[in-house]
Amino acid sequence: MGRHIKAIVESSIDKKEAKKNCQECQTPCRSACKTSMTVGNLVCEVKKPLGKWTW
Amino acid sequence: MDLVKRDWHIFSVEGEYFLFNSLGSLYQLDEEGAKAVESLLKGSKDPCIPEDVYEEIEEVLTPYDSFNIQVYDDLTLKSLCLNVSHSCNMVCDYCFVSHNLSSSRSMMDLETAYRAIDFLIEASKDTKNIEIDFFGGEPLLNLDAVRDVSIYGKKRAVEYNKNLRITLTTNGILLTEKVLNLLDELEISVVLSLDGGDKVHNIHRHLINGNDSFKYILPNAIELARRREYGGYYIRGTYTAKTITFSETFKDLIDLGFRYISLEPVVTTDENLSIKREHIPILREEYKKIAEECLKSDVKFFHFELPLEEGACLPRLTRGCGAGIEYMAVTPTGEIYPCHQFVGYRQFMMGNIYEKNLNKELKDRFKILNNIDSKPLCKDCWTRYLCGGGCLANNFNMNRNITEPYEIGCEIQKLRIEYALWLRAKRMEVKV
Repeated sequence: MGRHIKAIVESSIDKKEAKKNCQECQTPCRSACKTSMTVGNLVCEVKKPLGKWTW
Repeated sequence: MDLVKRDWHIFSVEGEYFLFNSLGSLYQLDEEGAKAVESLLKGSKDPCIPEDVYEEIEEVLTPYDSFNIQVYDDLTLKSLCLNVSHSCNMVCDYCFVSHNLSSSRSMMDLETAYRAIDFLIEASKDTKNIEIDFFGGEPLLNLDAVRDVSIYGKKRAVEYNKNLRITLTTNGILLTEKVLNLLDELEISVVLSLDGGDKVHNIHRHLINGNDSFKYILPNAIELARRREYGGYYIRGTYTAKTITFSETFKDLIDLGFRYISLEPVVTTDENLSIKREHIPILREEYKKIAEECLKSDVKFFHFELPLEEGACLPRLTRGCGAGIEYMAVTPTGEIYPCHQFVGYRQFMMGNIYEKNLNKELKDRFKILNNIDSKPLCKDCWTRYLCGGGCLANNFNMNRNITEPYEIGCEIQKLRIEYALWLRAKRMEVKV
């Protein structure tokens, strides 16, 4: 750990699996927002299948 | 070291500095580190900052070239919002649905609903995970349709080797034990609209006769939460200019026993209720308080749940909500709209469930808008892979133009994300 910068979460293009596009994740506005759109809240179904509930 | 400017965002919370990268990385900086990164983002090193600070930053931050993501044209429909009832047993001050409740038929019949399911199954092609959402009006006024359509949808999904998830958005008035049993049995996730404790909730959410609604909803909501301790529901409240101190609302909802909570800003042109620029500093403080509250407990505040590692892949994050392409809404008479918020605006009607051909011009228009890089104000914004370019319906509702961003919505999104990231950093500290 450095003195001036500390990584909390490290991501990269590779980690974001740039070539994947399985389209199996949820549609974001069918969520608990309903009036604002948030793709950032989506969970990848490949990395973490959601089970029977929407959340 | 060259940093791609549009991908980095420095922000501070309570004197601590953080650096976020649009690909999902998050760093904490000290003041000198923050100044060094700021200088790099401006294009040159600051001679007042010692070289060893830059060396340390260059060791940690992985440089990469600007990248382009392939735009996918083969998107399929995978989610339908079924407005099974355009009637409602409540009248709420900010309701965006009220303009279309005068429809000639207020309840969706089974034939229309079954056709909608068949339409979804067919249009979703090879996509395995599909979704329906019962919406309204109040969908529980058409409980028979909710039950029969869920059973039919699950049966059809099995036949086509698909996984159907179902959600229902309700005001909770009719959420009796019998209904809860049915929703549990059919594995229907529930969004229950509750604006807070009795005083806050009753400000905007009234029964049709004008009376307060809170006392009729609360016992049902508590029972829902009791049954679903580990997920399957969200309490969803709307805050307005009149209920702007919503961190208190958040605490009230926690005290009532709820663990999955979403509080959303109202989107309205009503001067008395709308969120205005002068509210932004208040909202910053409110979201900060909610983040602090989340740090103390296991409560999930919907917009603070940013799964940076387990989140969607980059191609998905470069697209918006999918309205009009991956997601559509169906009215009781079978009309198809790009999403539930466009229902009733005839210029956005895409077709009818009884006629399979959708309006191609409208579909193409939404397809272009679904690409984040198609939006001049979004393509260089650091939040673009978290907000997906915002809500097109909000743009329309506020500006009567789906391509003109709702600026206050953008401001709220940005500060909300900053506190979500701060919470993420703090939770990591707690874990250590």
